[in-house]
Amino acid sequence: MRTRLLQTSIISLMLLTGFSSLFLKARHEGGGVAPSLSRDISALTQYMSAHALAPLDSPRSLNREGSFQALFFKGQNCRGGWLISPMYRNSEAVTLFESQSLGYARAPGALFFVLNGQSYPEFPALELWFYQKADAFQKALGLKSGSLKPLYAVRSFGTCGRQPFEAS
Amino acid sequence: MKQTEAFSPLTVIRHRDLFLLVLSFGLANAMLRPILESIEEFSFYSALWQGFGISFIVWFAVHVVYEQLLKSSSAPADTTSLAVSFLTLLLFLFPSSMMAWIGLGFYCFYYSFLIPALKDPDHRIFRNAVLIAMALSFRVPVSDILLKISADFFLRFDALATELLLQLYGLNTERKGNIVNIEGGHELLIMTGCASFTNISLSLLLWFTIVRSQNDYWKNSHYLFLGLLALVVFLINLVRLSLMTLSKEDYFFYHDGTGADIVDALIVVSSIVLAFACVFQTKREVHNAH
Repeated sequence: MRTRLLQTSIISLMLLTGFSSLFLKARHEGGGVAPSLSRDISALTQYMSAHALAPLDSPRSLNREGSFQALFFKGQNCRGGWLISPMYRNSEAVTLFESQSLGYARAPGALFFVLNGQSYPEFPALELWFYQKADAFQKALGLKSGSLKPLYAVRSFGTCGRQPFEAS
Repeated sequence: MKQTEAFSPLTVIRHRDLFLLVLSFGLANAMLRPILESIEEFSFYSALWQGFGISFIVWFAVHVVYEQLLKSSSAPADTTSLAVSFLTLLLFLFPSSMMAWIGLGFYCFYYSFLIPALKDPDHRIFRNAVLIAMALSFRVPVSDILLKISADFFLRFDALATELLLQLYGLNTERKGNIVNIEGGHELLIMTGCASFTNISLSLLLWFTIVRSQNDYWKNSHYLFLGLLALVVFLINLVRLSLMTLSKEDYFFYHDGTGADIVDALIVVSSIVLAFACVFQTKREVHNAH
């Protein structure tokens, strides 16, 4: 009897842990990446347009795998775009696109960061990286509702408007 | 001994059942995000026809793993295995699909190599299933990390090979980094999704799934088949990339249209043919040895 009870408890605990992990994944990741990519594209297009860095029309996204995005603008006076990495999702992509071969074909611009509608020529602060990741983790655990604004790493390529820091 | 087993709380839980439990939660954790995303982006039935955003090769490997596990036998689980299983389940609580793949990969490694009782011939079907599950689990993190570290190299290599192939056909080709352009053609930007590396990793998984489910031997000649398969898939992808540079219409045909389906089918057929060739050769070698 005791044996059966102990065994049932062990299996129940394992099942509980397994279902909890699925619940957390569904909360954190379920339906998250595709809509958030759209939100990122929309927010960044508005930002670029407001700063006269790009035309207002929607860019063509070259990569929607979630690791980074390449937004490509093509028009009369614009043939280029931006490689963008939302830091809350995948900051590793910064190193990837810092050395992206894309830069060899189209003149690459300087890497800059966008946070809360402001541009920064350098990473604003190291602790921000941890805050972005911790915020996503806390949100997944249901402890916090993801209150931080997303931080984006951006690099331009080609000729499309001016660089955000070249005028100053 | 039998008396002890009868009173142990773990004797009724067998290795196979324990492994099935952790595997099921691991796969669900790892694949939940693309499945939900796919359903959200398309309708349920459209997503179903597209494999819920997951390659059909991966689904096939999952099917083979379960099929093998369900017809296998195994010894009763020990306390260490139970503890490892529970720790792996705890790791799945971390809200990351990648972590689920890695955790599951190491769990399969533990079951493949660190439990001596499962290495005897009686448990060979179970071990084969675990090995296929390990290949399935490690494929995602390994290819992702390799691409992150050396995407530059892989993309440039693909672009260089595409340029050479086009030049062989007398086309005036220009390449800069991972962009290939032919005179009067379509400017092709090669990114990680189209890289040969991605196709090779999937075809190797399919090859391994078939080979391991059909025999229990690993011979040196298997490396030759692996190399040959990688080369064939690379060449198929190279032809596809080259055809995509010819015009915008060709690009869409080979990237998203029927052309892409033909290329995918060619890769799958090559993997299957080389897998069965390897299986037959191994069986013949073993037969001759006896």
